[in-house]
Amino acid sequence: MKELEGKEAGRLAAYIIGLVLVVLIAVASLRLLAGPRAPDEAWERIQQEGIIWVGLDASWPPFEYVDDDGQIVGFDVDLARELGQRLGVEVEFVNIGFDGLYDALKSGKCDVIISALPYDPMMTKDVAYSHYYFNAGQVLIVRSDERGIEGEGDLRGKRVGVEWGSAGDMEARRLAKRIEGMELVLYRTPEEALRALKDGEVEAAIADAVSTYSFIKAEGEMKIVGEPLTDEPYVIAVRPESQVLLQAINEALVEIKEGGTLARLRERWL
Amino acid sequence: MSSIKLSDAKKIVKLALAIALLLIMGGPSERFVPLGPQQHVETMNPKMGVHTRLTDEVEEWKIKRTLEMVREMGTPWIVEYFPWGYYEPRKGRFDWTHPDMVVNHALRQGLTVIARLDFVPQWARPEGTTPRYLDEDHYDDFGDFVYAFVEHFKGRVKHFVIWNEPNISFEWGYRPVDPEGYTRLLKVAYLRAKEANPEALILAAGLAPNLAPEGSEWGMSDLEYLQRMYDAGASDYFDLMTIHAYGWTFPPDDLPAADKINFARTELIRQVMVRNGDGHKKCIVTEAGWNDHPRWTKAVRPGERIEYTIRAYEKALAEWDWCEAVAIWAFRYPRPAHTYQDYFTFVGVDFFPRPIYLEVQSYARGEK
Repeated sequence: MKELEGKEAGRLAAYIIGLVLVVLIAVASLRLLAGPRAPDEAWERIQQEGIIWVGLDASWPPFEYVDDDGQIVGFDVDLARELGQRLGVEVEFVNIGFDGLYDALKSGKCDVIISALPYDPMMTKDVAYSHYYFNAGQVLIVRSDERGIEGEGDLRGKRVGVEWGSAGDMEARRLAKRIEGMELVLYRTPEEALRALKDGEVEAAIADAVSTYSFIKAEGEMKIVGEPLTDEPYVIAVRPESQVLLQAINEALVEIKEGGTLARLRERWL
Repeated sequence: MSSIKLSDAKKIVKLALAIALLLIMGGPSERFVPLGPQQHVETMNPKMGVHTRLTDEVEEWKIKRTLEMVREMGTPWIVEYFPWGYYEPRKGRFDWTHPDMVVNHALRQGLTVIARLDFVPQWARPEGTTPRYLDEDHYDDFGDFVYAFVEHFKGRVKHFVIWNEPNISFEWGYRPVDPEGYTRLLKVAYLRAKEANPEALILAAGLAPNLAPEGSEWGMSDLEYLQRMYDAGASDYFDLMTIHAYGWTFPPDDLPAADKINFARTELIRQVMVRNGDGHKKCIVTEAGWNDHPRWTKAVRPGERIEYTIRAYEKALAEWDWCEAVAIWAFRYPRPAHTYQDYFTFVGVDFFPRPIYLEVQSYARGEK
């Protein structure tokens, strides 16, 4: 059978390289024809006025809620202020019902949403999301002195408490299908499941990270083990055309994360 | 130095061409979805139902899978929405492809279909109005559609709900609500349906439970609206009453009261019927249920939602002999709503069952 060797192989390689170059030139030309990237009006206005408008639903403690003095406070409020400081602008909050947040962003009532907003892959055509800053997914919890359970793989023959009907319940049922002898014990709230763990009724619990951190902060004697069982990343949303603003937010988030500020916020509020 | 066989190079080019052609042609043709063997719903409570949302579900396998899961949950009744504007885009030109698909799959799963009819096509309403706007000049057009729909589905669908929540302005095309006007519409639909199939059962529209103050521009109390329908002579033009019975944060056994929205408000609608000499007629709850969104003020905990839903089915079976079925809103959406609405569902968009699905299934099997 004839093989391509020497000159022929060289010609084929040159042909492929030529083809790639033609494609690259065509793509570059199309981008040029499409004109320059649209200006980021939100960013320009924020810079001009020195104010960034943050949309949130202040009914989700400890991320955002109205305190006894009528002030909006919480993890996200502090995070927004940290971002504002790094962007060199004042932060103003717009309190909007959770279901109205995306519409408020779209209609320009706010520049960003910072409101314990879960990443939603179905919305990525309508908004642009930042890097995540908190994972609120389901986690596995054991008592602090537990040595035998380090992850879901150690749940064989164990009693696991969950909130009946919740996402934690759904995840536990999924695990129970493949982990022999894992027994589900249902409770009415995640707090009841965690208390049952503390009291020794069950050997582990599955609950969302927000309830878990809050419970551990208040009651102690428990720890999260293994990787999160599910992911529910909280992100910041901007309008899709606010690309300069998004980049600035992402850079600030990296600083906040790497400088330890994010960990401090978590310790303060969760 | 590496070497390439000429025959391999030709094969690569041919493969690339084949892939390009496939992409241009739009991929493989649509998959054939057989109806499958006749199935039957096994349940210990024959009044159990769900409201499906298949109107905008395009893919046939998803329609079939949804209805299989409804059957497997143990709910023999479904309520489905059949928008007039989708099936009669031009006067007298009907396209039954999609509703045929939904109904045929439902019947093959052993389900009974309750069809809700409304949604005005563009040609039957003025520019700038919503699909809920139907003026009296076009009542006969709606009557023609009802006739065509009932005739087309003769032998397959028996229950037809005429319109939806006409006691709120939104569902009446943003006009002031008009119980007398709706009664005239009901009369037209009833007569045309019976003309098409004397066996057809006509259900008066489910009214939105609400506490609107008198004279509100947004709506009228469901209890007052129904009384005014009776005053306008509606009794002669429906066979069953449709009821909407959302529980909000209250359990199903929370007592009914005129100034309260809860599941048992159903009994107040029933009282209006009895008071007007319609005690012999049955009711069907076509929308009801609880929501377990973590951040919505009218939601309950997921466990409460399960408990209340099962108790609602039980209540209808044990205490409401005048209630033929309870359809809980909503089985599954074809795509996420991105609002609290997503937390009314029994299964995800991806068909993954939520715990409520499994718990209701256990109840229907008599395991609870």
